Amino acid sequence: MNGSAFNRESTPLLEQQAVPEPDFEALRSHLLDAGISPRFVRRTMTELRDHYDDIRHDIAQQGISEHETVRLATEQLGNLHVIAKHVKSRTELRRWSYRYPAIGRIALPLLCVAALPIAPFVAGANHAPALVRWGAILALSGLVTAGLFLAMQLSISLG
Amino acid sequence: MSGVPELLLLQQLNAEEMYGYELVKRIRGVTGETITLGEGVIYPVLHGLEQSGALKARRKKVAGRTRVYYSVTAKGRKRLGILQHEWQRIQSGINAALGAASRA
Repeated sequence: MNGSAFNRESTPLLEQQAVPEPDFEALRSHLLDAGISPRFVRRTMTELRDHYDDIRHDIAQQGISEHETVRLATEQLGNLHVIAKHVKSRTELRRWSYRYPAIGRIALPLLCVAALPIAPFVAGANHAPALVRWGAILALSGLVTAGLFLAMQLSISLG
Repeated sequence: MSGVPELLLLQQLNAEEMYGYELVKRIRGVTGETITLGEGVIYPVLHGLEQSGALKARRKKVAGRTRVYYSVTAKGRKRLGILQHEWQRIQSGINAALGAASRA
């Protein structure tokens, strides 16, 4: 994250547009990459944009030029790097998988693997005949596979 | 001193519900601009307090714009009491130290 990561590029030919507005989009991506919950990222973005608009509105009412208004409003809102740092320091705003990495990376995959054999029974609870056919086919394929293995074993042992 | 923004936010919101910008302006006014919070920095503090149950947020449409208004919950009032007590303890400690230094 370099010093200008949260500032939009200025247009060099237009001196009056040289003051960059805060780059909320860069802040949004940065917070999501840092594991902040999308819900809080959305809220932060909405509230920061509204806040910035309110500051601009108040400053503009004092008859200050557009160029100066942008500069003052950006300054008053605060450095987006500092805001990002404060958001990231709040562990309670992170996605649960970032708050509890052990559960996210170990327990959840294990739970999914354990749930795999049960899943068809849960999903097919209302389709008993289909479930019986599926079970029968599975048992038959298991028998055929076992039979093939037995035949191979016998051919090795006897051959 | 890390509890100062929480103390100020809870204190103001205990009186009435407010949205972020309104809250910053209020704090600036009541502290005589002696305490100026980085304006954008209040949002993570507000969201943290909301997540811990000290504040609740609701969207309200005012003059064609949807604002997020914050108000203090019972848990927040309890937290405010603790922070106020803690702050008074620090304040009296510092006053005692300053008094001792001026007498010396």
